Amino acid sequence: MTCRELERLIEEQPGAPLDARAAAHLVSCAACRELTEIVRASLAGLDEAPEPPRDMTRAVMARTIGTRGGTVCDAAGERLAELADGSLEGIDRDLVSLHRDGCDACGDLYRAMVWMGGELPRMAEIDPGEQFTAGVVSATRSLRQGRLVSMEARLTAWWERLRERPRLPWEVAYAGAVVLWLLFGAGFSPFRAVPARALELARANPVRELADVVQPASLGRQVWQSTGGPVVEKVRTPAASLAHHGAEAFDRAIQGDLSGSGVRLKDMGGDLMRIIDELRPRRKQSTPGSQEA
Amino acid sequence: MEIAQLLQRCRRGDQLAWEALVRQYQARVYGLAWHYLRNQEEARDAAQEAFVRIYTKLASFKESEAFLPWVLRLTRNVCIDHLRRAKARPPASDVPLDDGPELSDTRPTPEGLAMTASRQRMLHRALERLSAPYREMILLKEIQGLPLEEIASMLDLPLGTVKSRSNRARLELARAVTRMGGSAS
Repeated sequence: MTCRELERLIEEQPGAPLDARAAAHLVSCAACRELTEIVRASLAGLDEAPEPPRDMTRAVMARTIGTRGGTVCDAAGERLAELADGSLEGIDRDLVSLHRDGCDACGDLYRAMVWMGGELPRMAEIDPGEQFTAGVVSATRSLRQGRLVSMEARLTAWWERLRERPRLPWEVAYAGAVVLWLLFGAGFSPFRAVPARALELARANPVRELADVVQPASLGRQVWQSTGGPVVEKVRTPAASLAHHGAEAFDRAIQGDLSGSGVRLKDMGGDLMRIIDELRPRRKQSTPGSQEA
Repeated sequence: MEIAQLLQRCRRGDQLAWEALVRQYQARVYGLAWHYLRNQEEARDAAQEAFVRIYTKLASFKESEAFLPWVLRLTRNVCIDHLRRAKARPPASDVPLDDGPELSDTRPTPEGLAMTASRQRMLHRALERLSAPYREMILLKEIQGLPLEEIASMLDLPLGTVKSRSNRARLELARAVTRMGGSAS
């Protein structure tokens, strides 16, 4: 056995008895004999050594880091709250816990915080007395009849009542069917020709036909200019007028002015007719070259 | 009864639902008002005013929000208004404060009630020694149990500031309690 091997053995198992190889080495090596004696003596005195003074850590801290950036208690103080409510994690929790266990003042603060954590929430509710509810209900009852219940709240309440009616799905279905008929089915419907034209377009594969005559890059713009753009331009003014008259009719109906609301509804009818006239396909006028086109 | 259900009925004008809502939240609202104003009569007035404000703003309450923080926020605003109006009056130190209100405690035994009341009085005295920002932080975070994010929004402060102020406030309160010899269970 070499000196290095013996040192490692003592380091790993300081109190363990030495084996025959180690004993043989000690006979021949004075330095290792001395080391073994020192280790044995220190181990023997370990049990008899007194506890270090309780304030030793504090004294060492004072002589090493002093009060630079505050004391250790200052550093631990704010984190004690997090430790008390369990939100401190990892090594921070271990470090603050160690400090708390070794510091009487911080230990007291920690216990106070834990105690407060149970007591403070009980202070959230205080009984205001028997007549309080009646007073509040009485104070707000007069508001209910006043202007403070908003239009939005009234409309919401009206819709809630409407929604709870069992006949509502049938009524919605009926209204939807009437709207569809007005838009597409009646003789005066503005979109009467739309389904047939859509079917024709679908059969004609319009994308391919358009691609033959226009450049792909400008296809979308050209399609819009030749279809949607002119239609929107034609109905822009009457549509704005329709919206304006509709808003006025609604406002007056809400205010209870039924005759005024009726007048606006009549105006809306006029606007609708103008839109229909604009959208209705006109009889083709014979223009030179139209036959060829 | 679920709060969403109650609110829906209140918006429809159901008086019974509104009364139930008031009953459900009055202790919290009054408790917060008392902690701000430290006077039972003023707290009562402020709590009533808070409920009137809650009532008139019910239509604007978004259901995606939590209701209690919204209620406490309105109550706090009412209390701040009261405190501003009270500035013309004598300073608070000259006005005798209430010893403390009757707490909503459900402990069955008289001994338990007495002990709790004694502890609460000590905590009240300790709270009195804190600065106003720390006291408000304890009130909102520890007593009313509002989340830090909600307090940050309420006080218009960064979340980090609220967090550190909350920790410092608890530390100060713990110091006050230990100086008064409390925390013994």
